[in-house]
Amino acid sequence: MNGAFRQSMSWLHTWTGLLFGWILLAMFLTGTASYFRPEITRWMQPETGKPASVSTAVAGAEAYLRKVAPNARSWSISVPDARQSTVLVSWRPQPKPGEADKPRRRGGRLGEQAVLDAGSGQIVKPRETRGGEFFYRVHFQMHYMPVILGRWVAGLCAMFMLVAIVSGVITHKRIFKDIFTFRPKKAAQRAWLDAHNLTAVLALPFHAMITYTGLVTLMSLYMPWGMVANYGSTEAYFDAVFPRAEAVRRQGPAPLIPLGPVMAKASEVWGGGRPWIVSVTNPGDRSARIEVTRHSGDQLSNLGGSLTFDGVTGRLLTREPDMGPGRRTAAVMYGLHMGRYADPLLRWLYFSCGLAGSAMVATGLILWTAARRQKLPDPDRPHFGFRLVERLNIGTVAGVPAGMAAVLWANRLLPLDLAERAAWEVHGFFIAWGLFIAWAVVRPARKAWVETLAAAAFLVAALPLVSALTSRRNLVRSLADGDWAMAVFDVTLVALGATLAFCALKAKRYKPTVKPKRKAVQPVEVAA
Amino acid sequence: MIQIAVLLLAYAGFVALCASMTKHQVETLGRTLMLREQRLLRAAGWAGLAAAYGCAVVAVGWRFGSVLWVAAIMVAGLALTLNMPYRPRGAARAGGVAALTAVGLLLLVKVLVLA
Amino acid sequence: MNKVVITPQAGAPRQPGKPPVTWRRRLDVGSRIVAGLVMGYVVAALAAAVLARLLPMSKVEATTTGMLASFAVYAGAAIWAFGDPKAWRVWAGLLAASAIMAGALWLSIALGGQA
Repeated sequence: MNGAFRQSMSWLHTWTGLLFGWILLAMFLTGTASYFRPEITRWMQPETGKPASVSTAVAGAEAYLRKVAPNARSWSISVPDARQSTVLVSWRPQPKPGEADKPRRRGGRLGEQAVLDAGSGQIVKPRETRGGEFFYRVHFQMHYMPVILGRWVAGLCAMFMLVAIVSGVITHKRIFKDIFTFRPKKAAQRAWLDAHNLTAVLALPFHAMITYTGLVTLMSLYMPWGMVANYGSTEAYFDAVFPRAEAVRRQGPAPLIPLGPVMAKASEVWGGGRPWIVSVTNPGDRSARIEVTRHSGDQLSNLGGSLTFDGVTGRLLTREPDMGPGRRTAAVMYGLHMGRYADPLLRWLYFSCGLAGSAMVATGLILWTAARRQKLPDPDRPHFGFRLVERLNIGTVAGVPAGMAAVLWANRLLPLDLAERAAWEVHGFFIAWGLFIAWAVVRPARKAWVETLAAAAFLVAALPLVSALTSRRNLVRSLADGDWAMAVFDVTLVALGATLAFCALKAKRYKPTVKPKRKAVQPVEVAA
Repeated sequence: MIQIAVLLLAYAGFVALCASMTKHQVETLGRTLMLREQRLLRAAGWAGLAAAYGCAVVAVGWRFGSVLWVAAIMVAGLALTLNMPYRPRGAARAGGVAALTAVGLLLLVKVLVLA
Repeated sequence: MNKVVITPQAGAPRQPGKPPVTWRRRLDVGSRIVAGLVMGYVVAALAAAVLARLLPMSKVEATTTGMLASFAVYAGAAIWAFGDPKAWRVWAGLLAASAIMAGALWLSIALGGQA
């Protein structure tokens, strides 16, 4: 491979990595956290109990719906898995006389809702919070902007990331020779480059997969042109592929079959698969239908398909047809990105790779300043671009973890009856991140690194203690209750905080090789 | 349990591959290898990675197993490389321990299944 | 006696030996950015549409496959936009590819109709 090509790829890699690097770091960190979205939500709702078995949860939900909405137009039950402790039920009342009976608008809300405890089937009123959902959403929708704009920003960042990955691989000359090379004790530029290379190359399959599949999950927004070319619009495509059920006329009362056996039958048809969403249309009527959708985490493909049963007899009526190779590939890509299929060990491996990706972005950003510091004509007064990158680096590498911790601090400290409580928890993320950037701007750079990393370490590691002092959820009680997920959550927070503290310590002890300050060039008199 | 063996074998495989490289021989093994030893060690490394894949497929099927294997080798590679500058001999020795532990685990599973 | 005073020029490169950034270089980089970012998207979008129409599979499958492949096309175009030593070649290539694909797409729709 010739040198000029490698050089131009190096230039491209630097710019595609740098321009959106800080947003990419935030996307990586929030995305990585999202692999534990249900656990984060549970931690942030200490009023809820432990997860229960699926049959218990569904029985409780069914009993509630039969009591509260026996003659609704439709019910919906989001069946929890082993990681969630609440059941979301919703129902749509019958249309009033004279009102048109419209099928549900795709993506529209389902009328009334209630949150039930999975174990007892009773209504729970956890504190108002977005839970882990915030980290998941901000990861691909940003915040403080319309959802579609946020998704475009995420898509642009992902496209830059994809080009950065390809150009990075091309430009890395010794990718196999240097694969186990890590020399942290060498000069700054060498050490940071080694760190960037190892976090990038050793987890390269993950980074490439997560970036490409991330683009694919939103491809109907970014590249709808296939749908437009064949169907005229994306809506027409979705109508063709996911036809909406027609409104079914009520025919007269008939008892609804209990849902438990129907779900067991669904599981059997799927060879042991798990039900995820149960929708009942016209419960209590002869025309009742029960649609059971398969859990998106049963297979690599995130679309498990659905089965429709007769609501009175329990007979299987229809099943969604199998997908062809193209759609299945897209669904598998979606599934790989989301990782819902992963069992605990694989989930932790995903989490580790996500942390490696975050480290890759962070070391890349820091490498940019490390590589240019020696070339500064006056190291004490760098040019604006250098100062901007350096301060944003400090404010973001420490500020995003601090912001994520701030959401959890706000979750425990904000008054339960505060208006817009959930929104204020989210504001905490951006307020903390902003404050860290501001601190990084006003302090000398080296001190700012130590102080911000130490502050972030404290914010993260202190969370279990904050939880113990302000809520029912603490490590001792979690262990006593056998709630391993919550116990491990607290331990993980301390471990992550310790890692940040270690980084702060390294920053404090760092002794740069002292380079003689280049004298400002003096005018020289030359005798003609 | 077989899944743990996947991780252990992946780590052991990488240790062998790393130690077989001219660059890392001295720091991991304390001496330079002859060409024949180098080739053997490299083959052992690849064999370890292959064995890890086999275990992954046995544990969770070939679809999930392929994903598990890729994830395991990524994390194993990171674990090794992050330790190399600080305790190269220790990291290498851990590779041997990992291989033995993996074999032990697999035998244990076999015994439990047959029993 | 003449005194000649040598001072470093404002706007001069920060490193000795590197040529100053000329308007020609800025134009080159600027055109590559537009080619990679904008034309790259156009080419990828056309590829998605053409593949959707022309792949020998059911309509749904071809649609999905075309869209899946489009991001690789976009990335490839961006790499080429900055990798080819001659920027005019990049523009010529991307424009030609767009014209050909647009033509094929128009023909396909004119002959086969939409939806």
